[in-house]
Amino acid sequence: MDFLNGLMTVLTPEYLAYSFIGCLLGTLVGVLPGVGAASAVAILFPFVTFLPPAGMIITMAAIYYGAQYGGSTTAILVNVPGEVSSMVTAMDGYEMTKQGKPGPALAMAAIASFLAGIVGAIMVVLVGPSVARLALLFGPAEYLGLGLFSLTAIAALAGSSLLRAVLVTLFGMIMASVGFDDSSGLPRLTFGTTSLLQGFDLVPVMIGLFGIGEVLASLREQSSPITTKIGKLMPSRNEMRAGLGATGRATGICLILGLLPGMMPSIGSFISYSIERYRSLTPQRFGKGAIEGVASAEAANNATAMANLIPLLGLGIPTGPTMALMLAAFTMYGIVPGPLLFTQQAPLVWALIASFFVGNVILLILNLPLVGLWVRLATIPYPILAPIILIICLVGAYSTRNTMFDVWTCALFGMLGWLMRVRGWPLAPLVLAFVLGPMIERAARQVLAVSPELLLHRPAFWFFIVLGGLIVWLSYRFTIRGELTD
Amino acid sequence: MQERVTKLSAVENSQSAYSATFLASFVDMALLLLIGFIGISDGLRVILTKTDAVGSASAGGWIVFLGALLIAGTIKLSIKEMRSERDTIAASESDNEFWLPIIALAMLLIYIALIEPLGYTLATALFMTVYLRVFGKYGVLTIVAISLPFAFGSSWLWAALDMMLPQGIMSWP
Repeated sequence: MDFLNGLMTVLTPEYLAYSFIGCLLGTLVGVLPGVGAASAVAILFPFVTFLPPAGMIITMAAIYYGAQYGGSTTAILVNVPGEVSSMVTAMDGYEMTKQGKPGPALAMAAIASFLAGIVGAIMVVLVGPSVARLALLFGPAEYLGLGLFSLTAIAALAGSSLLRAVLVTLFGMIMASVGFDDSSGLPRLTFGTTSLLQGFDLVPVMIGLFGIGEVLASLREQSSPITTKIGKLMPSRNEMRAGLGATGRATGICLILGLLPGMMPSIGSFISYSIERYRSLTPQRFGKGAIEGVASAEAANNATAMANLIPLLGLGIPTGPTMALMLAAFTMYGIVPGPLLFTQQAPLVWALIASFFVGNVILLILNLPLVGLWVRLATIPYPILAPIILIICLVGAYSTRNTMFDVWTCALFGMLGWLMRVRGWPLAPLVLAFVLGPMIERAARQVLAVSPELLLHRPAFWFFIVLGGLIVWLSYRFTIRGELTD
Repeated sequence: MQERVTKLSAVENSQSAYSATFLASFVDMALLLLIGFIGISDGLRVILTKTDAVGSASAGGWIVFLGALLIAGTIKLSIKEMRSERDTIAASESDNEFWLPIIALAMLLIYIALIEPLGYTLATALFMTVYLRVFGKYGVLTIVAISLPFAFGSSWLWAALDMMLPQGIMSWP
């Protein structure tokens, strides 16, 4: 019933327009080379803050999945993946383009994304409220365990070295401590300056790390002009059968994996693609234009993104950088994601969930006819595109709190983001530590204020600690790490 | 003889790449250690500050704890990386175009410094002009045709979206 009310809200012209504009803007930014989904959401975040709460959150979600789809369009047609997860799509998608079959590759990517998105949205409807009910039983000890587990999992899955990821996490937690301490009201790490008292806002930090950082890192990359015509769109019957099978498997796997913190769409794509190649009778076709490769990567991408929303909505725990921005969008309006969200903000949550269905339909209708436009955008020379993106990033940072401090923060973290990319340091743990650090600190100090012995009597705390250890062990065991960040 | 020269040159290149990597690693570690020490010293300052505020010890203790962990982890990573040469190849590949982002970053920082005194519109036009000239090597007409409409058009758009950007010496829009 709640869901139907949400659907009715989203089907009003106003909310349909938010979804449509979000999908359009997201795809538009997502097709630009070197701009991934996280960057697209970070760059566009400040420009949607004037909307009403539900409108902004729906638009943000639409930007997110629009950007993901945009990235795969250029990955298939011009071998310019907008983000890491699209690299997997490019492996076979671009090969299909070279073989004169860009249409079926694009159509399969759209169908796989659509199906995974719809199944994912159904799972959010079914599982989200249950997770939220479970979280009502959580106290400081459980939140401490959950926070530590989330950071451990993110560190284990985010980079090529666990120790490096842990150091980035600690660095992020120290950066999050800058400014007034909530409990005591004392200034920390401000060095007597007034501008640092307000602390670093998440939005300029994210715009810097992902927007400016990616532009600086992409300066050496060149895009290649497209010469291929799209031609016939629909895949053959055999291709459709193979693609749908891969879509089903990738969706099933990634809807479960996506519940884990740190399991970002890019990692889901790599895992699903590997599984698909492993189980294939002709694995040698992968990387040479196998439609299952395109379908598995795209379905995994969307399924993981949808599953990522469950911990965010139910527990208030972001699983990756984009979810951290979604959390920032909620908190901007004084809405706290977590156990009470489904009861206190039921109309908003159900409108958001219903918008996933509507957004996926809009994307399917929008993208295939506009493919030509997206491709032309992707081939704009980078020397023209880069300064425009940099300026939009800075304007976005300024508009967060109307201070030049945020612009300098954005530039500083942009430089940091570029250096971290160049030097092989993972970015995701930094962002998540920025968000989860204060939560962990609050929970730890509450536990210490009562008694550390409290932890001994909380099995859920130990469950999360053991789960974190297990993920660290598994990440070594299966070596699913690498350059897999959003 | 020629084969020997080629081998010697390869060894020299590899040594120079290794030195660059070692230097970059040293800078990474030094920065992390510095942040760790800053965390510890500021945490101790908060703990030792005479105040009636409840929880000052835990407020300072938290960043002392994080700083200590950061220092310990950095020392461990330094020892580990000194024993391996794992980044040598990556560093030698990326060194050639290392200066492009630095130039762009320098231009960006100058642009930010100019936004308040000159105003968004003029600073943006200037930044776009210099950027397109340096990175795009475009002619004057092309640069003017791109940078001026973008600077004025975006100024108008931000104003239409109720975003108040610094106007500097030009009170427009």
